[in-house]
Amino acid sequence: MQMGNCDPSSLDIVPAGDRACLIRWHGDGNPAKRVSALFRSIQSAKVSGVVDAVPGFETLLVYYDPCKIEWEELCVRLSGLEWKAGDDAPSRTIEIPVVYGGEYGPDLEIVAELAGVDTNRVIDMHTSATYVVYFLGFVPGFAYMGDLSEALRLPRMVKPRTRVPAGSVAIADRFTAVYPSESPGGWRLIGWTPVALYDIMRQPRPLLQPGDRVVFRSVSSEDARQWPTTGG
Amino acid sequence: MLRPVLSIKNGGAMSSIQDLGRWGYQHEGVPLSGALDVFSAVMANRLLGNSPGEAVIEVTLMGFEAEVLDDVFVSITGGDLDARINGGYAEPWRAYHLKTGDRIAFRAPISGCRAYLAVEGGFDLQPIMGSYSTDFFAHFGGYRGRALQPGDVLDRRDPGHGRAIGGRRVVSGILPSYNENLTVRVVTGPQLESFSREAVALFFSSEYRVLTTSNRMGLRLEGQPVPPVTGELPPEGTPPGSIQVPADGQPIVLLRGCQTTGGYHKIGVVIAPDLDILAQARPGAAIVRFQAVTLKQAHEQYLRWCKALQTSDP
Repeated sequence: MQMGNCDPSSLDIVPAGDRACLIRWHGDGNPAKRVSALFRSIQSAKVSGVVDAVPGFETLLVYYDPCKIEWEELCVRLSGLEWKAGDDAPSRTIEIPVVYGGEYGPDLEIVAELAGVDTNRVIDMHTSATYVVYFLGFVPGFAYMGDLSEALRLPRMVKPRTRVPAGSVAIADRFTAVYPSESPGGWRLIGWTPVALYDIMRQPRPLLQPGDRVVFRSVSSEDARQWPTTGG
Repeated sequence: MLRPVLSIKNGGAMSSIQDLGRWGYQHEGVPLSGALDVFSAVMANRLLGNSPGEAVIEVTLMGFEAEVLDDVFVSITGGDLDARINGGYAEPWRAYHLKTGDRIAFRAPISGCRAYLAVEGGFDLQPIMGSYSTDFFAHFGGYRGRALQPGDVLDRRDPGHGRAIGGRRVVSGILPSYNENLTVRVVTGPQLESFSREAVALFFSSEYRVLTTSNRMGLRLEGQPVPPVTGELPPEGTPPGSIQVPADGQPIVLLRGCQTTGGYHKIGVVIAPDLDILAQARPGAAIVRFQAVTLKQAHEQYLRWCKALQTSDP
């Protein structure tokens, strides 16, 4: 264990630089639910000196101001937070239309090859599952969803693309996601959606929230082009 | 009433509106953004009596040029990019009084690589989610969610005071120096234990060149490759300063313009005060070394940094 750690509870709190710490868990259960619960608890507790919190898949990154709170006190306050990964409110199910393959999903064929199936089977697998939104990260509105069927779990590309088009539907490891805006990215692109994932003029701004359920539906490029986009 | 103050003639290599960052929305995936060199941005505002979080122009390397549309006090801080007012050299870390029709330009880096330009009263812009910073990921905030371009006109607010502040300088005792050989301090972790002892020893004893592929998101380094950790982490929050080691072993240090989460193992995180200096490391020229410090030492430095940032009368 590294110096500076504090671990008075089931939470393992380690420094992530001089103004942030990473909270990890050891043990079983759905990490995303626990992360969500602790995130909500931190938001409502309004601990003086805590300035931001960022959920990850198994961790919560907490930013603090060392001028306002000392490390030891931070650890005590974070460990003492009341939080329970209780039953979430009934979640919404959101359907996302996707044009798979071709210019819309340039990696569909290689994904099929690596998975040892044909492209229709990849589309079947991707559209037949219901995914859970674990957390949002990377860029505005980017929702990490899972779990992907085992056969589709592939590593990220060795050489990431410098430009992934907005709306690209992608997979990496156990996750699937939609790129909300053009950005660099190393995930494999299997399709494209016309839906706006993030809109600063909309409330709430992100289309997807942690806990939401998501299904993808295969549509033609004509249908997608005429899709009523929301805002943007 | 609009008060046009600057007409952009040339955006240069990359100039954008920034402030102290968009805090509180990272859980929506919204990156912090903001000035890469916080100290310089704050001092630019302090010199003019503005609040520290007013919008400033972050000028990168060279080429920025603007025409002054109204008599105004401005300040220049950060790297010395050979600023010129009507052709005459204007040193950084001080305030200037400019008149309608004056031209201000940044020609080429002499030291550092980012300069900050503020106007008295602050630029009159619409904050988005509590910040003026330009978000280059979803293209909002700042000036129309993008880098400044020729033809853009920036307005300013009425400062509400008429103090004579031309010639005011930041006290020399707190001025940073931007060397091409620099050592930055690091709090190790959060994945230090995943790296081999040899990898850690090698990283902290090597020097790294800053590559020209660096950008506001991060500095790409080249040097002795650090034996990487196999596989990726489940995605987690990545604070600015994170030293990521990807598969090729060439470290990437995230700057304040970075994404919110990532899956690379992090050998350490550069401390906030040194991240200001690192943000001035010129791609293609600077050589960086890393020095591990304890969390206690890091917090001592942080408190000193906060104190310098709060110097109310520079």
